[in-house]
Amino acid sequence: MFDYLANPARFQRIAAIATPIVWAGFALTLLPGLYFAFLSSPADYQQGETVRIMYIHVPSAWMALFGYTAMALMAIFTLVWKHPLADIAARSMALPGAAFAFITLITGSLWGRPMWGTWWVWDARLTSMLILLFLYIGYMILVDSFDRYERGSKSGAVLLLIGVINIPIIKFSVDWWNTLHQGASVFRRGGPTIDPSMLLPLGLMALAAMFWFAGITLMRMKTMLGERRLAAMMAKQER
Amino acid sequence: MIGLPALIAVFKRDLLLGWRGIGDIMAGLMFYAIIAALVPLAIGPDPAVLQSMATAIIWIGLLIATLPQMEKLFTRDAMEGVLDHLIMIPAPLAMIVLAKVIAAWMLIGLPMTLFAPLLGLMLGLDLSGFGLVMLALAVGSFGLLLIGTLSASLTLGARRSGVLMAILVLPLAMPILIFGTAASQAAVNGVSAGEPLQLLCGITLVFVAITPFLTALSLRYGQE
Repeated sequence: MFDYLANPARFQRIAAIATPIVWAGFALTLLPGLYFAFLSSPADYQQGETVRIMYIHVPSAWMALFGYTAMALMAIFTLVWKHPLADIAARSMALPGAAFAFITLITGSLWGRPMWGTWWVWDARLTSMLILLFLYIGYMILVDSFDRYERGSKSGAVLLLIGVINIPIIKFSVDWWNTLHQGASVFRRGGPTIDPSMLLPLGLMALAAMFWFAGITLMRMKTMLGERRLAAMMAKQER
Repeated sequence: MIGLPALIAVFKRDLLLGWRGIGDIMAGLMFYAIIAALVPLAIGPDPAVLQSMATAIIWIGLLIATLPQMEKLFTRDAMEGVLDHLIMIPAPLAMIVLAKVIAAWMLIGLPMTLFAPLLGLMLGLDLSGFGLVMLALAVGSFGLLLIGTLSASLTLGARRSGVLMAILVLPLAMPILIFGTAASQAAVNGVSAGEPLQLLCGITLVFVAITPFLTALSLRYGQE
């Protein structure tokens, strides 16, 4: 499938069809997701209404982790098979991924103020999520600081690979260390412990976040391919 | 092992070059001392406060003071065309990288480790138990140099490579900082520093296992 998609022109054609479908999926999951998350779901017996922050916070955190993992996968494709599109994909995912990491930290902070009584604590999960945000930003700056485009791609790909160490640390930080952040309640052994009335909006919002990520990535890839073509044409003209 | 003489030659060459340019090492130590001297000016000369922050300052100072030196680890080799030859040596490039890291540690990490007691004194630390702090600094600075070497290879030829070095090295060095300061603080307080010290050694070993290969990869791609 990757070979099939590696042709930029073919990718453009498929992306042109896929993009509206992805945005439709985003609308179809976001609207009911918001309805259930903010209107038609119970407040938590302990957390009260602030539990609704979770419907944004948790999908964002998932997507921040997913985005980086996907970028690292793309880095392998870039380094091993030298796929031009894999590099474009990794570059495209960096900004939405960083946005999700940022939203995770901000919403977590807003939730932490009434619940923990503080905007921020230096516990393992919060700190590792902050490092993830730094890695995203570092990647974006690194790939952009070379005169030779390919050099930026290769450097960025290697950085993505070393940064992958951080992903399991974030995921399992709540199990490995005794932190303030609560443990997993959805993807855990023995099934989710979260109430079904809350699982539904959470699932819908997670899907919406996924669709948004895919939509932005597709559009950014299309733009970047255009930029690459423009740069190639300018270079040809100068010669 | 194939190419062992080459590794030793690379190691010796780097040491010799570093020794000839000893001014750089001195400048690095100066930088380190200045960081430690700024803190009392900023937070006031209260010995109790300074003592409680001393190990933290020593470690953060190490992280910051090594940055400008690590940034230049490959620039000279790249400029003089030595890097192309290093890549062509019939020995694994990752091993050559490791030889260079060890040389760099002897030129950057080791002097700073030996210099640290002076900083301890400046910040009013009682130097009993400082041997363990220096051990932690020696191990931690080696791990830091592994990350720094990788970052230097990634930013080789980049615009604004100085800022980039900081952005890449510091987040990756956080585990070293966490376990290093934990071990040092325990040693200064006279409690057992075994567990954080072992974790520090463990994380450094993980970097030993991974970063030379990634550095080699990055150098190869950089010279393409």
